[in-house]
Amino acid sequence: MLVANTKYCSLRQDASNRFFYLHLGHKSIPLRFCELLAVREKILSLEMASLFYEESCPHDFKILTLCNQQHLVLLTIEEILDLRELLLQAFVRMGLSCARESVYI
Amino acid sequence: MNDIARQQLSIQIESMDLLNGQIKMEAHASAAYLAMASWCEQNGFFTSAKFFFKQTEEEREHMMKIFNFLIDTGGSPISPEVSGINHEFSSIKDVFESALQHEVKVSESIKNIVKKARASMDITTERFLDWFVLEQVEEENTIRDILDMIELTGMEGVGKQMIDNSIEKWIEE
Repeated sequence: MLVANTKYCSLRQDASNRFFYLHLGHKSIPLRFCELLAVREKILSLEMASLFYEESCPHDFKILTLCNQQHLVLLTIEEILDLRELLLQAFVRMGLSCARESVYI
Repeated sequence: MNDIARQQLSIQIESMDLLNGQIKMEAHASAAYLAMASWCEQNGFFTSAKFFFKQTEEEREHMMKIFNFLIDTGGSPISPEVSGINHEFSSIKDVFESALQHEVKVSESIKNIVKKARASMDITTERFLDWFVLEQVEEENTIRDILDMIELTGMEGVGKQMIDNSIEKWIEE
């Protein structure tokens, strides 16, 4: 079942095995809920402003490891912003957030 | 939509984020009190140092209380990074004034989380924080009483020694 989708990615859930599937266009990543929380934490904790500085993101993309380094993903700044939007949307759809904007510190 | 996520997490995700922020704040307070204990030891305020060693432990206990709450509710607690600890104080009064500033900051942060939890109908988080709200009243009151005592005693002559000796009272409480 589709939880949320954006331009470059989507999140589905499968009630039969209690897994979530994060589709990043080129890659589909199965996630347990705690892993979904960890992905959310990793993406929302990225300092957005620093992505636009060359030292942090020299070629307009960032390499991230997800799920205890099981997955390596390469995302452009646009895809990171899109994934951020997806995660915000997904938790609203799942009834665990009523905020449109993250209060992430 | 089938509530797989809700079955895994008992609180609102924003509450989890704010509580992770609070974990960081409590860890920072714990480290700040350790720096104050160090200053007191180096400047001959040995009873005050004992007071701040105890405060350090208390702040860590607060941090762990929140950490364990996030575990119990299915959340994801983050072990905090702590930096920017001040080790420089101009006097024992300055130390306690800084401590009061810390406590006020912590109190305001907790009240903010309560307000946000209330707005999102996250009763679990709101109730959990009841204890912290009252604890902060006690913490602020302790430091305020000490500052009053410092004011009355004065810093001249044997005043400093008298101040340090008087701190014992608040350690035993």
